[in-house]
Amino acid sequence: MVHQLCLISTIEFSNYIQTISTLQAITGQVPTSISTYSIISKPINVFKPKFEPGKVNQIEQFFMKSITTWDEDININDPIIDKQFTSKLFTGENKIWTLQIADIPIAGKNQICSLQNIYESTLVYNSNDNSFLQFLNDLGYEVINQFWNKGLRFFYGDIVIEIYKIFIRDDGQQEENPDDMEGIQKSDKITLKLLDESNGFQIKAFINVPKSTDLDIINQGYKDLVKLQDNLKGLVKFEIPDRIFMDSRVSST
Amino acid sequence: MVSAVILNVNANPESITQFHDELSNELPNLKGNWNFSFKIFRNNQYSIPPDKADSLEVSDETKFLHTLSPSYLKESCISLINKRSSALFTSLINEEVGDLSSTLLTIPDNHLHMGATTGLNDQFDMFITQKLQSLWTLRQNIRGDGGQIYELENGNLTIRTSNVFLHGIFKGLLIEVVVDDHVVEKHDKEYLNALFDKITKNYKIPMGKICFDLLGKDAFDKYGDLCLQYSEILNF
Repeated sequence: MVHQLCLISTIEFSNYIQTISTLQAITGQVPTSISTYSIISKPINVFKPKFEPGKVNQIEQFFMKSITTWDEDININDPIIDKQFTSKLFTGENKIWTLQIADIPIAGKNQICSLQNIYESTLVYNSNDNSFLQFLNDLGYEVINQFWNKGLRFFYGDIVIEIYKIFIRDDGQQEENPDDMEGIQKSDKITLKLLDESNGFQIKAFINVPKSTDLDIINQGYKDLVKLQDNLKGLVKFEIPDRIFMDSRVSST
Repeated sequence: MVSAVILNVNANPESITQFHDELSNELPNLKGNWNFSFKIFRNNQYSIPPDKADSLEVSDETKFLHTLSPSYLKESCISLINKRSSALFTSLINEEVGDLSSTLLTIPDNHLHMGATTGLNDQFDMFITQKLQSLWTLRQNIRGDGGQIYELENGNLTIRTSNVFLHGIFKGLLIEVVVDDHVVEKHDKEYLNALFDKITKNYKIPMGKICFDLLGKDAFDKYGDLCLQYSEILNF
């Protein structure tokens, strides 16, 4: 389990270069690339726990994220990827997938940052005749959505700073390009579009703490994040993400 | 590799010592100690398929999920769902294990660097108990302790022994026999039967229920096969 302290913000496209330069200056580092493909799944079955008076049901159902690396080298302005590439991801024998379920961030007054428990387990091998999707199904999950993530990452002490764009599948684009002779090639591709059409970037500053009981490290983390927030305040307005939007519980209704 | 798992339920301190003596006489390569954890999960009965959600109070299905974590696969966990879908989970990042990386399946460095994992993974059986309780409930937790590893026939044969405990009660001596791929000629049942029959006689392995079933007929899935064999043998 990871206990994650985090702050988020957005950067307008016009401020991107300045932000990167500033971060390079304060961290003294050249950023590394991050690139992931994620699928969101939800439990197939309906959970109907028996109601017993005096007994509180603490078992919840959760949406689950499965994350793998996204190897495609894409132009961030015109993102098109091979359809074969995506289908490869689903059936690939040697694909590595991290299963992730996160608790809703902890509630409280006067918070400095978001505090969230994240649970992960990584699959490194799955038998030849079973695709990863089949594995998810056998586990009890079905895929409901997917997204792609591409960006840069800085390290600043214990803080990880990620600047990225999120892409989703652009279904509208494909309908506008019906298959013709040229379209045969086109139909092998999945067109992506930006989730945020203003072409801005997401920025996230976080610290991962291995133990939620390690109060010294958590308190130090608060201080470090506040310091970073203060240092960058003219450029990035770091905020606490709304915990309600980070609730991964499946409602029982 | 092909494997067979045997459970000798009538084992006692005397018979176990005798077997260890027999193996020692073969001048094996001693590869140290090991232990294992084997968990049996059943589908949560209140998790009901959507098409029956209105008519049923409890599920009419029975499904099993088995997990096996042998200590010789460091920080790894084999999972087998419904004796069909197998997978191997690990929390080891390749760059963190150094020399061991050639013998273990690890998370490639790239997976961490590109941002697909935080690098702080839980074991899969823990992940299920923590977050998938609505789908799977733990029914049995079987432990293997005090295990020994013997490497024989120039490394082509590995015999692992371990005492098996269920809720702290001794259930017998488990023997895991592993034969290296390049001495295995065929994969059909008769051949494997003859192969393991010869080995058990040669090394005077105390007999009991034996399982060398395979998940698939052709492709060898060594992790899945091993977990399947444990699930057949440790079925109390």
